[in-house]
Amino acid sequence: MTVIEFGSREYPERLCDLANPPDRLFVRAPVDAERLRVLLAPPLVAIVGSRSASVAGVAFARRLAGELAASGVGVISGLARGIDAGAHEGALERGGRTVAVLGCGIDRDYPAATMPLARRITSEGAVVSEYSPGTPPAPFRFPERNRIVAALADATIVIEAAVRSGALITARLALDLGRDVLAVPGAPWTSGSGGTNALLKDGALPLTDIADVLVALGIDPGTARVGDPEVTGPAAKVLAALRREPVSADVLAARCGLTPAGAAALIVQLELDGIVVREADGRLVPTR
Amino acid sequence: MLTHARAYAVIGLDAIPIEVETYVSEQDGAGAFTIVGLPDKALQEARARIRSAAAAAGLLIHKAVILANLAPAEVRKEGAGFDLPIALAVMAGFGWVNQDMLGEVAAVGELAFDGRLRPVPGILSIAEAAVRDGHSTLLCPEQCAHEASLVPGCRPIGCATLREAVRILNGEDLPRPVVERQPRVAQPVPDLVDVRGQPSARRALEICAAGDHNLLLVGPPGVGKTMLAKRLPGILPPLDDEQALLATRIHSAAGVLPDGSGLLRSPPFRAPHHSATTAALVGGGSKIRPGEVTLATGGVLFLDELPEFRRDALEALRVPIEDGSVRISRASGSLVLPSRFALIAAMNPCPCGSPDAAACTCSRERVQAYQRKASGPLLDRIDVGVHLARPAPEVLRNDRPETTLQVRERVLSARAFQAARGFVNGRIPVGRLDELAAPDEQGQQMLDQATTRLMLSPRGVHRIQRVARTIADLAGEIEIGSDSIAEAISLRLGSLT
Repeated sequence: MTVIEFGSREYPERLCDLANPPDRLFVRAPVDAERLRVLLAPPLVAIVGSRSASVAGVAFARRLAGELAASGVGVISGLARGIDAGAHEGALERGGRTVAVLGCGIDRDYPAATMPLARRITSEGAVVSEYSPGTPPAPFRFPERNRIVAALADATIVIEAAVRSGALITARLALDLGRDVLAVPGAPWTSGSGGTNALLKDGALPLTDIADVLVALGIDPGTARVGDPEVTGPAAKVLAALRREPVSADVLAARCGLTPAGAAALIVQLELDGIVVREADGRLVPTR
Repeated sequence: MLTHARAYAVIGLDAIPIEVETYVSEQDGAGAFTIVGLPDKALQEARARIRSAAAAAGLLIHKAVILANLAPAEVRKEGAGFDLPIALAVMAGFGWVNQDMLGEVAAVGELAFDGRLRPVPGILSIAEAAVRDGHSTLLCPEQCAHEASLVPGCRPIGCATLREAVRILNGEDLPRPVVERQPRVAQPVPDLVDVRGQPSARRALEICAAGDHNLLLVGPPGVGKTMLAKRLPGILPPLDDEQALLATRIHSAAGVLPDGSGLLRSPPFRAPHHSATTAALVGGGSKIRPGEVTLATGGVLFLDELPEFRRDALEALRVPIEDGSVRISRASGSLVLPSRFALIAAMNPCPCGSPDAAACTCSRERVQAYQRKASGPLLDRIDVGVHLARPAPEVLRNDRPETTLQVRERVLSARAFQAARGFVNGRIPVGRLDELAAPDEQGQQMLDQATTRLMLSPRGVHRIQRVARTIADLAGEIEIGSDSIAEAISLRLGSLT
């Protein structure tokens, strides 16, 4: 474990922008101060959102984080399940930088749902907290933790958040610090879009493409395009139908005039390419 | 005077010969009747039945001293099937039955107080054992004669009463011919055409029937999970002679063979309730009885409300599913029973069973605990999973369900390919997979992609290969192409979540 005291040379400068900067940061071994400085170097974005996000939302977080990582942008988040976990995983998948800020002591295995991910971040990224080892998780510590997430990042990205949510707290804190906030717009009838749409009304930047993030960070998006696998033939027809409305495989087959076997084959290829994800209720949702 | 009769004790699916020896003394006059040789309670009570039945036949034995010994002495003897052999041996002791004739036959049957003979379970096992031991003639209740006659070489003599049995042995009456008993009602297997609006689930059922794959159905109550499961026996191939005899023997030994059903030709369908004990599922109990896994052999075992089953009961199912046989060990010995069946499990998406995900009141933790309960021991054994939703109107409108007969045609032809290869697809050994179920180049590419993206275990990959082989067989294709692999992957995805 490494401890970085407020006022020391290694202490991240950006935290000093906070009205109440943490007294010290605890960093889970084997990461040392030097490595943490590299991981926290700009450009760095926070990606936050709902814990009970849709499968499509998590898939988007993952893909966005991955593409940002490939463009050299680090990803910071809170290790919660849902959007947070998707963002960390996406960054790790592309060999990018990622840092998790906990709302409890760094020696606690919390949250349990993301323990395997926490182990990966420990060895390939960094796990930090302002709380001394042994501090248990508590509801009031998570908003407190969010100020660190907001302060360390150049910009905060919100994907799927309810009107009252921790992700929105992070976004407001980022605005207070004068950092950019980007929000993914959602249809008003979907559950995870209340918070992000509220942010957009308050002046957050709409995020529909990785280029939006890169522009906000001052990076030329022209060099950072990631090519989508091209969808042609019958798969294109299926994808178009799902873009009109996400439906179950049976409905899709009925709409496109396919047999269950034929539809399954096309859907699986789209799923394997990450273009379509399957929600818990069986609906197939395009991710792009 | 010492007399003998030949009886059989049913143990599991087999019967072993039991020698009934009786000693009768009319002089002593104390009226004692003793049965030795590890009889159970029902067998102890045979004394009252035999006395009363003998009296009904006009033969008073209650004043004599009677000793009956059932050998070998260390085998536990259970049930009322020994009534007839003991009664006949006793009567031979009084000189009312010809001992020479009695020595030629085996006997089984329960006696009523008025002397009528009542049917007992396990007749098929007893008849087989008797023929094996060279006793082709089996004296049995008339209701059991048809069942015994299913065994090649067995000549059953069905009797209505103790008196009739005595008269036949003494040559005073001729045995009556065995009448084939009419099944009370031939239960029609429900038709697959009834299941409307669930095309992918019907397709999954067909694949499972064609390749002996285990199936998981997930969906809210009322979408048709049970309906589907009940229609699986109809699309399975009918039992061949050997399987039919085995299935009939199992049902006979368990005492659940419907009256006069003859050989069971259609695959059995067993649907134990989720409160079933481990012993009820895998067999055993203080008497060793075949469990549901054995009764389902050759047919279907349907576990509705999978997560509601007791944890230990689900654990106990693993070995029978994997090995196709189950070993039951008790103080009285251990035996191996077959357990080769198609497994269908069904569950709700969450414990509250609300018809709509939006109306669900379960906490995330409760849903997880519910799903974990099912996934722990069994999910690993399931190759194919489908989610059933309430059918959308446009699916109902466009759905053209096929009949059981149409689907069975395809299943049978897919099975013919497998017979030629020597393995049912669901049971291709891992070592033979590359030879018998290797995908073509494009299929392999897709399988590799899925292995990485879905982080499939080697076992998961093998399951996809086996299911893809079945899909190709159904289509009459020799090569396993990417479409077959893709569909197998999508069926695997359904069982992962």
